[in-house]
Amino acid sequence: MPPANPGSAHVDRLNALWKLSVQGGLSDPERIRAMLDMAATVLDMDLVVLGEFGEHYAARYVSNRLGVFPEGTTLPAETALCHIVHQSHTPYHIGICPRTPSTRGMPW
Amino acid sequence: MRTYSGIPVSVGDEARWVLAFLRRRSEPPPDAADIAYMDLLADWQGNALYQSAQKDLLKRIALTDPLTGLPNRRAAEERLQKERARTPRDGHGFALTLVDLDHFKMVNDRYGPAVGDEVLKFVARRFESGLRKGDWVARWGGEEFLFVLHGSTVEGAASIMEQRLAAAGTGRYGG
Repeated sequence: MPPANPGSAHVDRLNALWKLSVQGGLSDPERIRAMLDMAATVLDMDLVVLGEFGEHYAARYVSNRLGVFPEGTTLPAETALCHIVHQSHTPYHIGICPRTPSTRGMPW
Repeated sequence: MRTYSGIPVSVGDEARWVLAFLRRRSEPPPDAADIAYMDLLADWQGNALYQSAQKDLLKRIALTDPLTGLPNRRAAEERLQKERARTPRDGHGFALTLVDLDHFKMVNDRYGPAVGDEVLKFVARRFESGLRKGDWVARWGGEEFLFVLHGSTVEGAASIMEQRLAAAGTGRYGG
């Protein structure tokens, strides 16, 4: 069910993000993971991945409800769907991922 | 996974990172508020990764002797504290050896400090190469080098040091 006031909900989640960003007692990796967990919750995502491209694609930080894509997972760079974003350096949003060769390497 | 959003994450001048959001259900693409949230998170993560890398770099600089690349005295003192804390737990001791290069002042006086620096770099490389796994050497100061040799008796440490000193004293300087 959509929230009663979407604008207020957005402000609330930004406030929560800010509080987490300044919360004491967290190491840098802990804070990054906590933020990914928070984003997964507020955006209702099954998987949030902060990944790095080098020789391969590596999932460095993962928030994962499904247990299908653990931290440290590596993929050939060109098979990761994020490759498109990395190459174009442009955000990419799709509602229904096509099952094409370019998306076959992702965890589904 | 059917729904995907990917946001490029800039870490300093590097653009090697991507923040990805995936959902199992097929749904319309995220709205403007969701995208703003994702963008903000990506910016924050980029800054966090950059600051973390800078902190690591500063720590490395603070704990490394710039001339030889070996751990400096501060790093050695920190490591020694850890070694001392570890020893009662694992039951294996270690040997400490302090090496001072004889007549090093003469090298500096006769050939100049630039040559002296090259000698220190050369010796440091020779000392470091061939050490057993877990053993380490640090520049303790000036022409002094501290070795930590794990599980070594006095005789064992003496034998290892003879090998290291022989390696440092022979061979050609390769620049």
